[in-house]
Amino acid sequence: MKIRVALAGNPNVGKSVVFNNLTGGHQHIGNWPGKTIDKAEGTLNYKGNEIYIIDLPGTYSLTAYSVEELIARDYIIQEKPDVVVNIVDASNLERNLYLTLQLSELGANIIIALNKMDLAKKENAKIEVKKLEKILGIPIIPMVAPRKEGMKELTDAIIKYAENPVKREIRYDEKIEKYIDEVRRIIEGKIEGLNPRWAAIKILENDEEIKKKIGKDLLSRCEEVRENMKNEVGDPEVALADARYELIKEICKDVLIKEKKVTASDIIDSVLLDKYLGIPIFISILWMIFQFGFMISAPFCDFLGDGFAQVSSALSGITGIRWLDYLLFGDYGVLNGLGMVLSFVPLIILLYFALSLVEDFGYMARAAFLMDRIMRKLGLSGRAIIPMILGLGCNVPAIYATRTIPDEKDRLVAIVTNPLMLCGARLVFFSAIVGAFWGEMGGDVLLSLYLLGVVLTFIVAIILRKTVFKGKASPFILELPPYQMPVPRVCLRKAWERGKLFFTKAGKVILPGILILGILLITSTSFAYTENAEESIAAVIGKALLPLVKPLGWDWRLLVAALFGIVAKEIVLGASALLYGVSEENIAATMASMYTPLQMYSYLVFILIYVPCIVTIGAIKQEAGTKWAVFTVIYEILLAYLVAWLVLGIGHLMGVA
Amino acid sequence: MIPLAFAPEGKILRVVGIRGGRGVMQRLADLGLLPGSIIRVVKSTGGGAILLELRGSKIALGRGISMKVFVEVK
Amino acid sequence: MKKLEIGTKESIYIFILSLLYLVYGVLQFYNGLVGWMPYLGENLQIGVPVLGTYIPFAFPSIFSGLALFTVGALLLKGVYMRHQGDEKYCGYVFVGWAMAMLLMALNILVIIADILDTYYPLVWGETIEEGWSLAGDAWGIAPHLILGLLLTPFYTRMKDILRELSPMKYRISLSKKEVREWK
Repeated sequence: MKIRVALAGNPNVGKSVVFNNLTGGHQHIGNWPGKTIDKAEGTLNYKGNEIYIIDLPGTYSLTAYSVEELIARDYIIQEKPDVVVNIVDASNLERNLYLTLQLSELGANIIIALNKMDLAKKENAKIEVKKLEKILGIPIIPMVAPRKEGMKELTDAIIKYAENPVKREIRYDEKIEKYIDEVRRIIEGKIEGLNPRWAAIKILENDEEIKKKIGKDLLSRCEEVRENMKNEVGDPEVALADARYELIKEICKDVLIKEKKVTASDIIDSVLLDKYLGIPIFISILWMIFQFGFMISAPFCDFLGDGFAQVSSALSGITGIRWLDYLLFGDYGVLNGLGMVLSFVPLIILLYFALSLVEDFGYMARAAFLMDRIMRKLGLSGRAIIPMILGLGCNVPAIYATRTIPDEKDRLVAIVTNPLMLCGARLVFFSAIVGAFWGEMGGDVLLSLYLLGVVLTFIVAIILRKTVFKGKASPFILELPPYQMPVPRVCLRKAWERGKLFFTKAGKVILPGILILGILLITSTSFAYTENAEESIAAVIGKALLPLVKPLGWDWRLLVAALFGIVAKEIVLGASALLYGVSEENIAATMASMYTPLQMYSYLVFILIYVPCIVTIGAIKQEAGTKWAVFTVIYEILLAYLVAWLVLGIGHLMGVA
Repeated sequence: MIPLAFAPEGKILRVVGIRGGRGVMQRLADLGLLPGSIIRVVKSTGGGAILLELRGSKIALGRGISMKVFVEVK
Repeated sequence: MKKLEIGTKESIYIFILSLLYLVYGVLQFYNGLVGWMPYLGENLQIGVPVLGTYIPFAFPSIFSGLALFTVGALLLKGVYMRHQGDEKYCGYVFVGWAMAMLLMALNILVIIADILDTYYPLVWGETIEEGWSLAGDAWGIAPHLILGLLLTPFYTRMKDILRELSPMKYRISLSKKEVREWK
């Protein structure tokens, strides 16, 4: 039998663990169409049944106020899954049942997976599961998902109830129900595909999405009922929320006994949120994640990059056709390009793995709480600090890390400003140059560039917040879940999937980019193969565009090297060596003989700001859309030009040579 | 009756009113913060951000919201 | 409420270690600063000279220094609170210990990664000119590893808290009577 199952529940209830238990390796993570919320789907073959499972976004409710809620409820309404598994946190029963009631209003075929039974026990919360089952009329499967306890019972239940759906209407206080019934009578039969009771409730709650689906005259009659309700019990939205919680309180009186107990979570929280040590702890943990991601992935990244380079040079000459050879196996050839893309993957996987571990533990919420106040003043959301720090290593995983930022505007600001953080690739170029020009002071110069990146990030964020992304700062409401050991296999799986996703998406952008650049470098203006950079089309373009950068004082080679940097910032070093006809070891010294330190500083500033590498552009396109990717490219070029020019100007004014 | 932002740590409080826009009120309601709810302030940072205990879970509220939620000591 | 039992002798031991964490933290921080601004002074090391390097080697890093310092501060505060009779000391000692363990693990992983990074070209028969050496590696036996090792034995004390944080077996058994009631 083919069964469609949707997993629904509050955030932090262990939904992804259940999902992973069910699907194992047979899962795929993508996006909900047109949105940047993760869509995780998978399959399971069990006792001859083909079960398709979709993990809906974690939500506290099913209103129309957030993207996650709309995705979750639209899926249930439109796709009509055979079974909805509502994952409920046993240690947080009251709040979790709120969503259960909403799902029940929808008329979905619900099974409750009562997870974290061990945590409830640890917190001295006793739940009478059988009683609760009877009162709700919904089957309940107790479980401890990380230990796969209860999973078999859950899968059996899914099959059982897919065949024999549970239908049960849970009614609230009559005081409220009478209004629901009234609206229901008005719209009965007039709404396609929607559960009438649910629609009635939504109309009373002033749900914009549902209101759109009713005719004007029906709507006005419903409005009357709503007015009456308002007069009797007050704001209907609040009254309905109240009614649900009242019912929950009644239910819990019978089935839940809770003892006040100080938990390990409480004790740890008083430390992690310590007035003075909280932030140092946060910085330390961030640093550890960073080190783990970049240093531990380094051998794998290097191996892949180098490996492909080895294969490339081994195969070079094999075709016998010079230009084909160059394009396929040359320094800027397809194979090397592939190697370069692949070399990002271990980094993304390890970084995401570490972040996932820390997030699942529950710490990230605390960090957001600690940092939010400070970050707000600087135009960014508290959660944006992590992508910012990651950006110091590489902007690509940093941009993916912005997914945890709930507010759309905040997220876009974080994405668009992220490339301003000095990434590892730019560091390669900078550190090579800095020694030749500034000797001992090189370190300070480098530091100044880092700081410039940070300062610009805040300035641009504040400006964006006041203009393009104008809007009130979204209210900061965040649940701090109890600390729990993360499940490494789940985190690893998530990281792996994301690595795969990156490879397929980024590869599509980078490889063509590299190919084009390679072609430009080796084709002369007479469309013949050439090894002399001066004759290539790239040089022609460089010389043609030269007037644009006249105020900055570059020669065409610096310009072309910068153009090459669009593919990958590491390339700027190698490309400039190629263009000046010297080896990579000597390029810094060569440039030192041609340019003053001020001019070079201005150039470095330009390279810092101008355009993110093509992989990053790809990531921005993926996470924010083409519009914002283009926006980022444009504003950064303009900003880079401006600041580089200012640097020159101020330098001259100050009499710096 | 005082804004949550100024409430003392550790005491049990009752929510008496929420002065906020549609979206904010709904989000708070979904989490169980309604007029009449019983809460306890776990931590109060100097700047108005509050960590509170509500229906068995911990919720953090920023300054903006904690100024709009009114409570009284139970 | 006490989740952690620590005797007086152990307190003193932790106290000394916390001071070491603080000292090496400051050292790394200072070396990090000196790295950026050489005119401030010279790189300082406190340790046992071995094979061309020091053990432990306080490699220059502002943030690593901060991490070590934080661990030291947490442990120190914990011990102090215990001395004062404040029951909340468990949290500080636990978090300090946990972070120390993580730093130690990180140190080990970095050494392994560095070795892999040096020798992978062997896969395609390239000769390694400069092999991996303890002296050549910044993270070679840093304070993270040494001090972490010294703190590891406290794992037995931390078991209670760790168990509380980990998923536990919850015996879910339906007695025959309950099964009949369900159906």
